[in-house]
Amino acid sequence: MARSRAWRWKGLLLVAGLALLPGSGLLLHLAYRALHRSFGMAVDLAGIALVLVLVVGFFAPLEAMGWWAGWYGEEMGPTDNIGQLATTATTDRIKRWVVYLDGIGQASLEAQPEGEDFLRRLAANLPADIAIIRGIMPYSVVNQPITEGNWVATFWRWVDWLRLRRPRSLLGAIINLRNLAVVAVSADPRYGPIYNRGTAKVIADSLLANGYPLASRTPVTLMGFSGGGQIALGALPHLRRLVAAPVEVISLAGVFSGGNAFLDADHLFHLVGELDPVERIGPVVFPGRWRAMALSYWNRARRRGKVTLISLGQVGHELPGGIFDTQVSLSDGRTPMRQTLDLVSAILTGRLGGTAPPVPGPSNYERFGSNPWHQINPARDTLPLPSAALRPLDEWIGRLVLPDPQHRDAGVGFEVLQAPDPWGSLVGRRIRLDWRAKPLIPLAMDVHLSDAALASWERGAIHPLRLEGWRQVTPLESLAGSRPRDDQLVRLRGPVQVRQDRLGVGLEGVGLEVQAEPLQTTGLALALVRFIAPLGQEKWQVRPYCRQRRRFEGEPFVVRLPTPVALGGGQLPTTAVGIERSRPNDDGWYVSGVPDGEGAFVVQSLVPRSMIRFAPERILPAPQEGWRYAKREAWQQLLAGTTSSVLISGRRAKPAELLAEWQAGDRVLVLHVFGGIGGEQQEAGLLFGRSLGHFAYGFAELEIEPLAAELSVAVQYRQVYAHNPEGLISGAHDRWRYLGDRQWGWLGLRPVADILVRFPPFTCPYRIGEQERSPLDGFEGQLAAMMARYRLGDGTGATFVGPANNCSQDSNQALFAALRQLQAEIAALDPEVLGQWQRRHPDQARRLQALGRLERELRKVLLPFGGLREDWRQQEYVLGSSLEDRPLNNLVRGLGSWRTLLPRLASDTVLRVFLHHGASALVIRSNQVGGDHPSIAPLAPMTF
Amino acid sequence: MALSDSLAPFSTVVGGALRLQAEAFRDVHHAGPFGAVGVWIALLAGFSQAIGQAFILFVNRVRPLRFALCLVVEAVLFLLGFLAWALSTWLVIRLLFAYPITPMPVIRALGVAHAPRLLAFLGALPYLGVPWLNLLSFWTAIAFVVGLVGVTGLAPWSVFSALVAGWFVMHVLQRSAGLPVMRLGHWLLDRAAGTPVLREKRQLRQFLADESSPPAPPGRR
Repeated sequence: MARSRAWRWKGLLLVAGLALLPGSGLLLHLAYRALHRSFGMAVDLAGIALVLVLVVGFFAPLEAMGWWAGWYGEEMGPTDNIGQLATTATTDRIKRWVVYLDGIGQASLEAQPEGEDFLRRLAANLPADIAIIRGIMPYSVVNQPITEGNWVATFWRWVDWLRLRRPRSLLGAIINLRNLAVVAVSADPRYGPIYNRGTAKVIADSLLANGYPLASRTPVTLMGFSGGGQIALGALPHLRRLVAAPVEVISLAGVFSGGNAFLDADHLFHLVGELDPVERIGPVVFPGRWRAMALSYWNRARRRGKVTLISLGQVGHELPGGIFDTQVSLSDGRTPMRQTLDLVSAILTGRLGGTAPPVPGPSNYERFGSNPWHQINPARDTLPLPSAALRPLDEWIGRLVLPDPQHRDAGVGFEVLQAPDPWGSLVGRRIRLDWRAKPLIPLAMDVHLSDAALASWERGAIHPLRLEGWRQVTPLESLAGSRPRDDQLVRLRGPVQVRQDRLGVGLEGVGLEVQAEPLQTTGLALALVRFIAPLGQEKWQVRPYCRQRRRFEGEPFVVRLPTPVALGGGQLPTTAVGIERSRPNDDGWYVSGVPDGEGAFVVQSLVPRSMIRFAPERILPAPQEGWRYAKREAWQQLLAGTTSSVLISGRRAKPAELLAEWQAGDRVLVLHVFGGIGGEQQEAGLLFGRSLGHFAYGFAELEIEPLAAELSVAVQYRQVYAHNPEGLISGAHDRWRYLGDRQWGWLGLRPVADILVRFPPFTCPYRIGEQERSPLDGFEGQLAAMMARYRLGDGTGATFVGPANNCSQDSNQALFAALRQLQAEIAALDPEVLGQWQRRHPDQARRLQALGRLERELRKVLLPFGGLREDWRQQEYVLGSSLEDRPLNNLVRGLGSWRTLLPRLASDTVLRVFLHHGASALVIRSNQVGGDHPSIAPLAPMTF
Repeated sequence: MALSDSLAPFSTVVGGALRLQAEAFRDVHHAGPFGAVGVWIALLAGFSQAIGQAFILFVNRVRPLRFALCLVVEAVLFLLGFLAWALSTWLVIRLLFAYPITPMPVIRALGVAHAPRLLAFLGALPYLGVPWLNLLSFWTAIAFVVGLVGVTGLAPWSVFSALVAGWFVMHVLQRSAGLPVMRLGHWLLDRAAGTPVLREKRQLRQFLADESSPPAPPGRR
C-alpha cells in the first residue's frame, strides 16, 4: 500500500517534470485549453490558487532573510514570549528538557487545541524531572505569531477565528500554506542555515529563560509534529552548539527533508501511522529521503542507527483519526492519543527498549568463556595465596558490574577482590565505583545500536548490546557494559577515595572514587619465578626469586598452567610445552593469577622478566645505528620464543650516560606494535601473506620492582581498539591483561614491540605559576576520550576499522589534539608571567622550546597534507566507522595522514621524530613467547 | 499606440522563444520599438536572475536601498557578460566556421534565447527555487542552440560547439585581458552594496559560521 502510494507520487512528479520540459509548452497549452472548455471556472480557480502558492512561497523567506540582514531593526528583536513550562517542575534538577514544536496549523503562540491537549496529558504522564516547554511559534524566525504584530496580523486573526469556527473552511488552509512555505524555507539549502539558526536561538533562549542550566550538558529533546519535525531537525545542529548538550528529536508524523544534519542528533525517533498521507510527502518530494540517494544524510543516519522508525499502526495525520485523536479506538483498545503518549513517555524516560538482540555469531569471546580458569570466581580467587612468594598485584582489584537500568546514577558496581588495609573486610562485597574526571562529562552519550553493529554482532564481534537504548552512558558504564557479561577485572590506579556516604546503583553503602581510568588486568597476585619441572596434569614446580641473594632460591611451590581454549582459527593462544627449557626461563617469569583452590596457583598471565626489568642487552649510542635497529633489525629477528631489549639514542652519548638517564620515578611514552600470526596455522585476514599489525600508545613508569628489587618498567597500554571477536575492550590495559594473559593476551601468539621513549620535554611536567602541566597527562586525557568513544562507537555501538579511522590514525589524532591543547594553553598565558617564568626556570624554558620544535615537526610529518584532515585540526569527533559511509572521503582523509595509516609506519614515524630531537628509547621485542608452539610463526607487521 | 500594442511584438518574441520556435529568433527585427529586443530580454533576465539569487545579498546583510541598487547593477553586469559571450561566439563562428555574419544577429538571437531566464525570479522560491533555476539553465541552453541555428543555418552540433568554444574564449578572456573589467564589475557591486559582497559558496558558509546573530540594529553595512 505504502509502496504504491510512493510510486503514485513519483509518477505525478515525473509527469510534472515532463510537462515543464521545453517543447512541451504547446502540449500544456492545448491541455489547458481543453480543460478550460470543460471545467471553466474550476480551472481558473486552480490557476489563481497556483499563483497564490507562488506568491506566498516567493515572500516566505523574506522574514528570515530580512531578520538576518538587520532590515527590521529592533522591531523584530527577541520577543518576551519565549515559551513556558507545560508544568511546574517540582525537582531542582531537571534531567531532560523537552521543547514542543507544533504542526503547520499553528498561528499563535498556542499550539493547535489537540497539540495543547497532548502536552497537558504528557506533562501529567512524565516524571517531575522532565520539563516540557510549550508556546513557541516554530514558523517565525523570531517567534512572532502571525496573529500578532503588524497590520497583516488582523487578517491572520480573522482567518484563525474563521478556521476555529469552521474547521473545514478553505480559507483556513492559507495558514497551513503560509507555514508550509516556511517549512520549505527551513529545508532550503540557501535559506535553511539562516532560518534554522534563528529558530535554534529562539529555542535556546526559551530554555534559558525557563531555567535550563547552561554548561550542564542536560540533554534536550525537540519534539516536532508534522512540519514541526523539519523545524526541529533544522534547528538541531545550531541548538547543539548553543547549549553545548546532546539533542535528540522526536518526530510525530514529521515531514522533513533528507538534507538535515541527522548525524548531529543524538537520535531521531520518527513515529508515523500507516494511514498518514501527509508524512508520506517527505519521502517523495525530498530527494535526500529516497533510498537511491545512498549517501544522503538521512540514509547515512539510518545506516548508523541514528534513526528509530516507530509505526503507529492504523493512524492518520491530523484529526480525525490522527495521532492526537481521542475518539477512535485502535485494535488494542487504546486511542491514538494514548498510544502516542505511551510511546513518547517511554522514549523520554528511556523505557522504550531496543529490538530483541539477534543471535550472536561464534566469537573467540564465547569460546574463551568456556575456560573456567580464566573466569572470575570470587570464592576461589579470594582464597589465601599458596606461597609467601606471591604478593598482591595491586591495592584495589575488582570486577566491574553494570548496574540495572533502573538503578543507574553515573557510577557502576565494583565487586572487591583485593583491597588494602584497613579495607580488607570489603573483599567479596559489591560496592559503588565512580570515575570522576571533568573532561569525561561531554563523553556521555545515548546508545542506539546501528544495523551495522547488529550485523557485526551476528558475525561474532562483541558489541555493547547490554547498553542498547540507554541514555547518556558514561565512559565508566561503557567500560562495565562493553561485553555481554560482567567479567572485566580492573585495577584502580592513582588516588582511590573511599566514601561512606554515597548510596545508589543498588549497592552497599561504601563507594570508591577514582580520577584515572580503571586499568583492565588479569590476576590478583604476582610472583617472580623460574619453571623447574612439569608435574603432570598441567602443573609445574616453580622456584621463586630471592631478592636478597638475587637468585631463584626461594621455597618452591606448585603452579597450574591450564591449556587455553583455541581461537576460531584453531591456534592456541599459548602453550606451556617445554616452558622450563625456553630461553626467557633463565631470567624467570613474572606470573600473575589466583589460587586454584587445591593448593596451587593458577598462572593466568605471564611475562618474561627480560621484558620488565631495565637491563638492555645492547646499547647503541650512535643515532644512525639506533634508528637502523629500530626500523629494520628489530623486526628481522623473528626467532619464536625469544625476547630482546636494546637501548638506542637519538644523539651521540656514552653508553653509561645513556643508562644513567633512566631513573626510577621517570614516566615515559610507549609505542606498541604487534605483528601477525604466520606458519602452518596462519591467521585469516593477512594481506598477501603480510600482516597490517596494530599500533597503540602507552605509558610506562620506571620503578624499583619489589619482588626483584631492580629497576623495571611498568607498562600500561591505551588501546584504541575497534570492536572485535575477542571482546577486547578499548581502554587502558596493563601488560598482564593485554599481553601476558594466557587466554586473552597476545604474547604467545604474536611478535610484539614495546618502544619506551624518554624525552624530558614531552615526558616531564612543567610548573608554570601554581599549575603543573604535563604533556603526558594531556595526552592520556585525549586517549581516554578517544577510547571511550571507540567503546560506544559514538553511540552506534560499533567502531570499524577504515583508512581514516583506525587504531593508528585515531591514537595519533589524540596525540595531535594533546599537542594542540598544550600549545593553546601556553599561548593563552600572560606573556609577562611567561617571561618571568622563563627567567626563573631556564631549564624548564629550554625544555618547553624543545617541545615546541617537536610539536612542529610532528605536525609536519603526521599531517603532510594538513587540509585533508580538517577533522584533526578542528578536533572533530567523527568516527568514520564503515567504508560504506563516504568511502572516497574516508580514503582521502586517510591519505591526508598517510604516515599513520599503517601501524608499524606510524610507530617508526613518531619514534624517528623523537630521536631526531634527541630522545633515547628502549626497544623491547618478543616473538611468540611461552612454551613450544611449532604450528605458528611470527610475522613482522608490514611497512613502507 | 496603447502600451499593450507596443508590448505585443515583445511578448510574441518572448513567447516564441519560450516555445523554442526558430522563427522567433529570426524575426526579432520586427519587434517594433523593441528593436534591440535581445538586449532588453537579456537585461530583464539579468534582473530576474538577480532577484532569484538575492539571498546572497541578504546573507551579506545589504541594506534595503542598496539592495535595490545591487539588483540593477547585477542586471547590468549580467548584460555585459552576455555581450562578451555573444561576441566571443560570433568570433568563433567567423573564425572557426568561416560563416559570414555580422555580430548583431548573433547578439539578438542569443539575447532572445535568454527568455526562459525571465522566470528566474522564481528561483527565490524556497526549496523549489534551486531545481527551478537548473531547469531554466537547461531550457535556456536549448534556446541558445535553436536561436543560433535559426539565424545562421549552421547544423545544431556546429552551433553547440561554437557556443561552448565562445564560452571558453570568454572565460579565458575574463581571466586574462578581461581581468580588470571583472574586477571593475566586482568593485561596482561592492560599492553598490556598501560592503564587500561574498559570492563563493565556501565564503558564504564560513561567513554564516562566523556570524552568530544578526547585526545590532540599525547598523550600516
